[in-house]
Amino acid sequence: MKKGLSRRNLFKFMAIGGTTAVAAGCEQKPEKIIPALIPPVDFEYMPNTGYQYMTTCRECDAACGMMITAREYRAQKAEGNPNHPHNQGALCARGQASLQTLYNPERHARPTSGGNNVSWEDAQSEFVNLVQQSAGQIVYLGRPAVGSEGNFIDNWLNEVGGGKRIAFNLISRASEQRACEIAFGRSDLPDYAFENAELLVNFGADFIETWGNTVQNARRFADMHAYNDGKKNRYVHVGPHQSLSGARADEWLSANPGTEAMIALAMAHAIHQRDPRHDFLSDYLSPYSPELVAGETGISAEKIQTLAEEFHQASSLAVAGGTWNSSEQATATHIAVFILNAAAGNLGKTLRFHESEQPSEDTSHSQILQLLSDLNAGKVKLLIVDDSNPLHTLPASLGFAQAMKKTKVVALAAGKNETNQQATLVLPALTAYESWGDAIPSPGIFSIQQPVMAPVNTFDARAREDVMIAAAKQINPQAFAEITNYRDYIYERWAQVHQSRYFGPFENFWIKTLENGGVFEAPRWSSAISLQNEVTGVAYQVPSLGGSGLALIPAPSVFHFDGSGANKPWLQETPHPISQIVWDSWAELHPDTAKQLGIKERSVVEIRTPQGSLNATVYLSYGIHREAVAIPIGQGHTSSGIVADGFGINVMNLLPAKTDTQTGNLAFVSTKAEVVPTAIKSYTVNLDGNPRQLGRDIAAATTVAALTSDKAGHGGGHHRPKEIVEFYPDRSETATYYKPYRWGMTVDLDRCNGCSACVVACYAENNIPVVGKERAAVGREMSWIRMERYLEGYQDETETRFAPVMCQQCSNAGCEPVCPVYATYHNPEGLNAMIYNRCVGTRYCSNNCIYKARRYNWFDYEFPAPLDQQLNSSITTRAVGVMEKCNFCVHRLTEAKYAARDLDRDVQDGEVVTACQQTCPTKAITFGNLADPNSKVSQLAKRKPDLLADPDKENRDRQYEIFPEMNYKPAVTYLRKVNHKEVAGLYGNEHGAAH
Amino acid sequence: MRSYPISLRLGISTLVLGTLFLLLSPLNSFAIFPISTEPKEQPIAFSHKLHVGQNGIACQYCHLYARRSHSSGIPPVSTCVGCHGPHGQELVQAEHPEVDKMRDLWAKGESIPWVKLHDIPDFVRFPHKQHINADAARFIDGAGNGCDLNADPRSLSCRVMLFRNGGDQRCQSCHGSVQEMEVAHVVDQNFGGMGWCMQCHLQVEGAIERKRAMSTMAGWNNAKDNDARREAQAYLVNERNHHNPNMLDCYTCHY
Repeated sequence: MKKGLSRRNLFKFMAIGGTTAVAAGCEQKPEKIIPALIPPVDFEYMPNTGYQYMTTCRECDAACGMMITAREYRAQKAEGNPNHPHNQGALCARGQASLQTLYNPERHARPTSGGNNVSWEDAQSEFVNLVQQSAGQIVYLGRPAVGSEGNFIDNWLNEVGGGKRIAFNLISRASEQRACEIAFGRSDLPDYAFENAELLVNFGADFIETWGNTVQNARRFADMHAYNDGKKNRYVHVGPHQSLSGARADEWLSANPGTEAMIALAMAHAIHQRDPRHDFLSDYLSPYSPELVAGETGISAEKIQTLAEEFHQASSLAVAGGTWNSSEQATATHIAVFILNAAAGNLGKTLRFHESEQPSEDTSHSQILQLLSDLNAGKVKLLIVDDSNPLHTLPASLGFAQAMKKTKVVALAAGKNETNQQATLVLPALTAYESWGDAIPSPGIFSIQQPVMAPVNTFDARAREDVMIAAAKQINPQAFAEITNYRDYIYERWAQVHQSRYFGPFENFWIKTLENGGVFEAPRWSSAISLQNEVTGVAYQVPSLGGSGLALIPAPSVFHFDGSGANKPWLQETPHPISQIVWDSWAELHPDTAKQLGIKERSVVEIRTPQGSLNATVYLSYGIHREAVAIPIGQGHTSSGIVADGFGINVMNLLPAKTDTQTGNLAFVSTKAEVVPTAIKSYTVNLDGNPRQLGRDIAAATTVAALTSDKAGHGGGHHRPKEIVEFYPDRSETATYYKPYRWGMTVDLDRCNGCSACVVACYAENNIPVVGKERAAVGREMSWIRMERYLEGYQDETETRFAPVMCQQCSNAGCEPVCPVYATYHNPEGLNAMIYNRCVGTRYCSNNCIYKARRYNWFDYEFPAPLDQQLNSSITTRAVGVMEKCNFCVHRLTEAKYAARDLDRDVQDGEVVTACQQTCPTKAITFGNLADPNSKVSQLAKRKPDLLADPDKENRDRQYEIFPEMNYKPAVTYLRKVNHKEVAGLYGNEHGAAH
Repeated sequence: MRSYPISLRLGISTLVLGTLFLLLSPLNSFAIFPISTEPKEQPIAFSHKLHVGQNGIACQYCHLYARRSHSSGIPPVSTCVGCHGPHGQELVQAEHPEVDKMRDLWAKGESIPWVKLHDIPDFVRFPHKQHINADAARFIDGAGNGCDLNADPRSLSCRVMLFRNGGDQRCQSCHGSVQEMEVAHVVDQNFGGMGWCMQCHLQVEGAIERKRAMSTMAGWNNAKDNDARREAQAYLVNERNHHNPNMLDCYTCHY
């Protein structure tokens, strides 16, 4: 039939040519296989098989439950513990990246003394000597204790002759805790029941970034705020900076920096006028009528009045917290918000306390200031630091670096950072993955931290507590009697949990605890919570910001936390959800302010305060107050490893040493900064392309009104053609396809917060390389799922939308027909299969993909040891010259099909969970079998048939697909974000410039 | 100047370019190299012939993960010690120099550095478990008939027959007559090559039908043939009405 060279034969010839040419020089060296000496009993180990272990995440103080998948005894993937009531199986981006704390090449590899490697024996005896010499004048500076470790260190200090433990965390809730003490007489923090509220007013708490348990917050917020059966609750954000948490707000009140408390009090005033519940408040509130505060806050009296009215009538909740509430008046701000909640009758409903009072750890920064003066006075002989990093996180003007030089410093830390680099003696500690511990983040939640693997073999590290116990026993042989290591200590503590609550032998209880990841009891709420009249004793004053220019707001970052995330490649590589900037810091400015100051987008500015000056690239955003400039916290490291050092700036160095008047907590919003344009060229990498959708409706929205009324709304963006002409019948009509599975996904944009945990989870699951700033700058980032951020509207009406975009597994895919070697094809289960070993790297498929979902391996990317131990061994790690993309976690699909096959049945709904879906705190992603009409994903993706035919009624249906006019027929269905009102400029006037 | 026909010019230039291209493409190198079937020198002269052939030890006594995991597993040294005994408590073959090598390593707490024979490339996922537990009744009628083990033991029909017989013979269908090997070696030059795998997989019921209908165009063209009979053939719904796995999809092994 065919004459000459057919395509297939051409490739065969080419293959033969290749063979003869290379055959001589390509003999592979025989590989060795080393069997075990003794096999693990009871099949606790099988090759290529994942085992799950429950433990606790220790990246921040929230202490979520974690479930680690270990293959070949190596932890390879972190997931949330589904039994843990706080995070319920989800994790944030930092929790996902905790694997890179474990495998970080920059961990302390061996004990050093004065910079020289020493043996553990020498290091231990040096440590013992130091402790002995400085008995009574030891300070242990560590991260706040969430479990037994605080008690343990206190015990240890007692045993070795006395000392002091200081808990330090830059992002501290000490002011909030102090406010609770004053307002409610409680020594713990309240529980904010987002899910019970119909109106949430947030006075600046960054509840999706760092405030409290962000995973729990995000879930509860989505439960409250997501569209549900014709109803959608409201969220109002009050504060000078929108940030990620405010990006989801239905209304944003851009209050003048530091004045949030006045608005809260004015709202309380308005409510108090109508419903005088607390008599003692009358006088306190009288200076705060909405009319009086309007000028100072920049929010009109009517606005405050109507919001107060709504707040009073609805079941409501007001929260405050985070860095931009942390002014000199931080405690007063919290009290104002508590007064507002009390005035609206929210106590015990949406703002509630646990029945049993579990005092919070004192994390106030007054302790560290005390330590500073003690150090300067020479009262501290030995400073033991763990992984906390005050040297980098505290403003340089405090002089911590100089003070540290006046004492001997011992680092008992896992990773390198600025503080423990100063130590004369470094004792490498194990990470949470390799050691014992526990956490009690709230009453009745006992979470166990067990070693999920043997210590990483490249590091000669020991458990921090074990080093300390050994030292104590050398100093005082009676110390820690009957305890040889920290596990025994944890045993003893948990024996108490067992005794007070359970019958039966301890051993059974212990095994059950390790299986479950802890003991989790249903919360019991206190019914006796009332506002105390002590609140009137706290006088609020508008904080005075020193200096001139714009108010400087150090903004918390969803990735870097207090800076501890900066040395993790995944967190540097993932674009910040708002700015889409990677590997950098930036200065966020309002476009109007920039215009006034003569500053162009993405130019470098100098930010000057009396304490110093730094250069940063400008990112223009309508999400910031006109009189403010925001810079994210956490970058600008100098000695935390190659991934962290030299990227971005450390905004904390611009701050003066001002503190909250009530608690001594560091004041973040405390100074103004001059922003001056410079002639320096910017090298900041921003991956967002165009921030505007230009009517493309990639992240589409609709309104509550459009969904609930019969009136035909205007479908935004481009429409699917009214009449679809197909050359070929649909694949579902053929014999070979979609039987019994057609894998599909839905993404509910009304639940998506843009937190990007899915992006990091995908990096962890699929062996995706990190390419670095230079390669990201030329568009060679490798992420399989990206968080698209689009802006709608202008000025104060700007709306931010997020849409996670991964390979859409199209039925009419553009990639498939252009592949010359059949490396990508439509698989019978509806996936656009990507067969790496067939791929020759023409990149045609990527050019023909309208979703830009494909990534090309331009290089053989490195996974520097021991990061390579994290690589998922159940999938291929791709080599240079190969295209790759999201495959709906096909290895999980295959495993599920094998498991179902063993049971002689088909895979059932919910048995396969993709990595992105698994970690999503708000459950925005649903995955399953579209061929099964009863599966959850089919139900969610189903459209109303009468609406499908009529494009004018498009937005009466939440389901849509991206670029329907291309007729690629994606298997991913998005559910529109639901707004309360149409955003101005939603459609039509979008075809203009970005700003 | 002499001019060559355009087809020849195109053909030659493609060949040259293609050769260069393949030289640079490391992934392509595997499948086109035949695997060495020579016995490789091992640290201990372990005789499968003695252990399996003469003493009749079952394959999975030592390769203990074969029915449970992707890898069959190389026996841990403790399995050897279980019969032979360590130094001082010698049991079987108390004074054999090769067995003593193992005892020496055991005494030192070291493992045996075996040389790997059956090495499939990293982009292939071969699950031993699925093959050991596979339902032999799924082969088409007559598959494996006509095997003459004496004439050509590595013929397709013999491999299928061995697989159908199950037990240790199922292992032999890919690994050859290990029970006769003094030094273990790969028996098939094509071992691990995809065509070699597919030979057997196309003997599974419905596979040929599925293959014919699989290509995108064929799938569309055959849409009209979408009747119950065809579907039953191609999908091989088993007697409990559940679907048998598709072994022809690339994603089954390459991901």
